[in-house]
Amino acid sequence: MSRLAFFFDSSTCSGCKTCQVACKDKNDLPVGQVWRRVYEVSGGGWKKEGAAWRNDVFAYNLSLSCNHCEDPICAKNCPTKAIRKREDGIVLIDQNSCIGCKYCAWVCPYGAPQFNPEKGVMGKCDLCADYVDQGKNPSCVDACPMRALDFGDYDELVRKYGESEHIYPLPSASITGPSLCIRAHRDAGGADPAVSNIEEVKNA
Amino acid sequence: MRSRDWSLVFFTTLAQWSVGIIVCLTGLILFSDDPAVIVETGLSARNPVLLALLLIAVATTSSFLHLGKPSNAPGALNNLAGSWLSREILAIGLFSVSLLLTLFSGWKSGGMEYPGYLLLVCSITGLFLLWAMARVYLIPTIPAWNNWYTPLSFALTTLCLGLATFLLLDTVVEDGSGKPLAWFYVGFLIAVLLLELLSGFLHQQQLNKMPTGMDGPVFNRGTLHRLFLARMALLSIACLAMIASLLQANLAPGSGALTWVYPVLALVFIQEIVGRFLFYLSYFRIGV
Repeated sequence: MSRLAFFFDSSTCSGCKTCQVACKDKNDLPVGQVWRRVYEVSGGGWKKEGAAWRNDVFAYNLSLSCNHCEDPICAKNCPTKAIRKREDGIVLIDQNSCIGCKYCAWVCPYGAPQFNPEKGVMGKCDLCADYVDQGKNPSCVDACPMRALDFGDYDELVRKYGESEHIYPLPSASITGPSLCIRAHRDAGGADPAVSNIEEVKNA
Repeated sequence: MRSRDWSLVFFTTLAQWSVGIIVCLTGLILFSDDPAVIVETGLSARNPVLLALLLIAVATTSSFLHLGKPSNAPGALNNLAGSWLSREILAIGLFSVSLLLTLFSGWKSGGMEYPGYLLLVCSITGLFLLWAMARVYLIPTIPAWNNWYTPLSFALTTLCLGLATFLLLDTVVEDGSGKPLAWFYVGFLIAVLLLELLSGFLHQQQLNKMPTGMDGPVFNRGTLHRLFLARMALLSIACLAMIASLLQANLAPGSGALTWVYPVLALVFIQEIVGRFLFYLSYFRIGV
């Protein structure tokens, strides 16, 4: 089984959210649904050093969708088996068998599955499986003006961009084995990081 | 917690209440020496098996309100090998069917008792339901639920509501020696309430120390903390009132001290609902 994955370059992302809009447009998502979200992280402050004040203020962005995990906790717990993993590693929700119990949304540490109140079922990024089947890129990847997003086989992405580093606010990769390769922003790991657009992303 | 989660508050509480009634009834019939047990078997509100069946029916109906697409619900048994949610649904089915068989058997016999072996089957399926229900919430990505408190609190709710129901139904009156057996149940209920108080405080201490992520609940102040204190106050009042009634009965046997226990039992039911509401409010997950 291959392992399709996303690559995200936090050092070049400008936080324009074109990826978010492209995803929403491609999947015709209703208001309140964002399968790809951009987290705006900032932190640091001002410190007095002798007679001077020095700042270590930083900010970076993190564009995040479903990570099509190696060990998808959503699929493992879905009572109807509506969530399944394809041979190429894409994790899909079959909306025809989903009961809309929202258990997958509870358990996913990336907030990927989201409840669609119009349809009464869950939905999430499917890595634009229909585009992938046609040999095309996912819509978010092609839409990114900074080329901060890429996709492909996980091992190849790691060879191309280096070992992934799961920066704040991501959970430990050991929980679900996310198929996500990240190039960290140079300031990731700074003091007291916090998500500053919490109102925008919190219901995801 | 969203508005639809209220259905889960009622689903879990009512289902555990139903299991509690059956476990207490089985314990009473199988393990008491010579109890004068008055068990209604007909179509009466004092029939514990009928009451348990009605409760599990209401609980199951309530759980459907949580679903976005209930028409797909038959597929919820598809993942018995991997999902505790599927196993919980199987357990509801097994428990309900065994209750139905027991009710039918008692009603057909027209006597004042149920066959012990059928009650035992009901208890086993009920305990399986209780365990499956607890496992559903033992999720590694949800630290507030993934700990000792979830199975313990579910078990205490089951016992608490089961015992309270027996006192309300006047099912246990006295044993062969004329000693009121009901007071044994009151004593047991007091022990359960004390355990609920203790475990509630310990769990709250644990929650207060948890890092709750980027937008998690605040446990040591605000609404959640006030609700927790309110629940603990209700529990303490219920406990003290039960102890007072037990002392009064010992000092003046036959004084009918049980009659004023009923409002206290109402308090017990309310605090269980508040406790379960708090449980769902405590949700936060690791990550984003």
